[in-house]
Amino acid sequence: MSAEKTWKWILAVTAGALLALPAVALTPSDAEACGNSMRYDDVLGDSGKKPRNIEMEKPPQLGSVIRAEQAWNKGDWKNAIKEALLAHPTLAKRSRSYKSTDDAEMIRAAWIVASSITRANGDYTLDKNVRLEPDVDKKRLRVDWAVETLTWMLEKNEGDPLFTMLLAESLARTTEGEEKSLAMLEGLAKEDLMPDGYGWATLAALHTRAKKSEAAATAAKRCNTVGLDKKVCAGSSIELLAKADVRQPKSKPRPKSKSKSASKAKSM
Amino acid sequence: MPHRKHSLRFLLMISLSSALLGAFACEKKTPGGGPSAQTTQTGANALAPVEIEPTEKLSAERVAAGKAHILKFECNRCHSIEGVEKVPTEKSCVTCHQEILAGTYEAKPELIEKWQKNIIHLTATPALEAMAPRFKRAWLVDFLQEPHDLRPRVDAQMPRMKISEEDASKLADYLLPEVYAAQQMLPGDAKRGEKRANELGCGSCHAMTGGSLQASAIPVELAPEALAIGMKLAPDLRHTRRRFHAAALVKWLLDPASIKPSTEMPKIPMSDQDARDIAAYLITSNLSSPPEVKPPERLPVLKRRVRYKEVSQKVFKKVCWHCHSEADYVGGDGGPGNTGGFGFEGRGLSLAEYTAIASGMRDDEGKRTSVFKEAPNGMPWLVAAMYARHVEVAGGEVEGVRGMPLGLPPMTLEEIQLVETWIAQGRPR
Repeated sequence: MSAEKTWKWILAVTAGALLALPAVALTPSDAEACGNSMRYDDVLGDSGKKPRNIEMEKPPQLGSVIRAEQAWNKGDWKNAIKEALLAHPTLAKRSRSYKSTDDAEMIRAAWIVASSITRANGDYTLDKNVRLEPDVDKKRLRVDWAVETLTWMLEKNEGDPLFTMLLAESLARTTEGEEKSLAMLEGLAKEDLMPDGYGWATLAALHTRAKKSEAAATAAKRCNTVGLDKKVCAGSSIELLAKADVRQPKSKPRPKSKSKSASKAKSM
Repeated sequence: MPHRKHSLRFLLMISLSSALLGAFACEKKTPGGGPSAQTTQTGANALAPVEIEPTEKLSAERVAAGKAHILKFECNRCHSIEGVEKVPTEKSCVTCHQEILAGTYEAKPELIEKWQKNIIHLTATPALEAMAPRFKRAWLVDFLQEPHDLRPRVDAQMPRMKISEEDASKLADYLLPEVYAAQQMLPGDAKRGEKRANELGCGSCHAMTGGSLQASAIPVELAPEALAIGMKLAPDLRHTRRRFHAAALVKWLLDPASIKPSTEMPKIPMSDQDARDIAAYLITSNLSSPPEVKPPERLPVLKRRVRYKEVSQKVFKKVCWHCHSEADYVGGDGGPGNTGGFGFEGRGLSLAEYTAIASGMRDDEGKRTSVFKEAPNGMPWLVAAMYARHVEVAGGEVEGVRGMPLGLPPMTLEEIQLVETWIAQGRPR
């Protein structure tokens, strides 16, 4: 082979290798993809550990709602409520704020708050401070708000397993909602559509209350299998709250400017 | 599967090298050692020029109905199509990937850099332009319903969509708005055509499964980028006889851009007789059956503990969530597999969150059903869908289960194994 030919060989092989390099370098990683979910990825950052600043054109609330959901996923109810209300402060005060919007993120924030307050047995105030306030009547009022919110969610998303489970969890904390809750959760269990372990834990609690120990153990086991703590799965932390005794002094008229739900929220 | 990917890349590297070698080595050389192509061309003026004229044009109503179908099936999310509006970048798989790779997509540099490392699929698709003079309606209607691997060097394939014969016919109305009469094969010598095709380097870019085409140098100089994209999109010439009108093929071989100006196919210097002979070779030569491909066996479930985080990172959020994402966070469009698209009604399946996956999907009747339930082949449905893609790539079909990811290379057996293990272990979070 002449020297000229040898050089051509080398040049060609090198150019070919350079061209092929991107294909070799673009090896899929374990990181999240982008594509259709790029807005989500944008806020999450790497593995969701270090939330990035949201770009100007993105809705400013998005990051908070995602962080709220991350906290909800970890069982950190207080921070879930805090982040969601940071994004949408009015949603617990005025139900119509989320009922009359097309803003999917706000609606998501609403169910995150409703579920978090349910799972916290109504322990936290639904305002920007998110204080611990374990007054029994107020706890029940907050769970009632969650029931109302999640009922609306389920009506809007008929048959949706997540809203079915979340509503059932709320109802299971009310004396008059237990029966309905049990039916809803058993329906999900039968179809293998239980969205997470808290549904199984609630089912275990309902069976325990009904003295069905075998069924309770089965539900608790499923709960444990999907990764929840055994204590949570036993369902003993799920409180049963009686209807709140809210007696308003009749002589004190409500200010006209405030709606019914607003004054109810104030007491929450 | 990683081995397959690596071997494909290796082949691509070798092919590119050899093609470039050809480009360099043939700078001053006449292919095949015979008379130069230019000489042959000037000496072949005796042949009448090839004319292809439509015999009929479809009515404007039919074409408009066809366009409505193009929009319904969102063909423009992957292809640029003459006369069809472009979709926004975020909805256009190919444009989005191209912009990210080129660094022109509007996002933070660190995100672009991160995404660039992930993109391997859907970086180039053919523009659907000037199809009418070239392609046979019968082939197109069949292909849309039962797509096959037309471009072996593109890892993505035309997806198996929910397209009926009527849908396919309507799509063809838009893509082939002119009718060309059945064209007689022009006189050509297939044997000589085979020789000339090999001399002119057709096999550098094209495969011809079951045929005798060999890789050889291209007698024209091409920019490396043009060569790379041309090689990538080059169709398997096995299908030419079913795809192309005969006379159009001759004209195409002589000057592809005269039919489709945006084509990546270069103008290879050849005589009219060469073109007729090569067309005869492509259309009439014997083809052996393609090698039988058997879908691989699934791997046994793992013994170690598998949790959701690992499955999500390695499978769901690596591939699946592109089409099954959480609609609330992406402006209401959860992708074709969730809120709908590509002609599919929304199945309501998000694979972006644990609770969403466990919430299942809507079945044909709109009722929620678990993705862990048993599919007709006995596998959990989620696994069955991923495994079905292996079967589809091998030329088969799993009754009642559409292979996923749609139109993309199958998930590796290890990835499927991971999902199956997670399901078998009770889907621990």
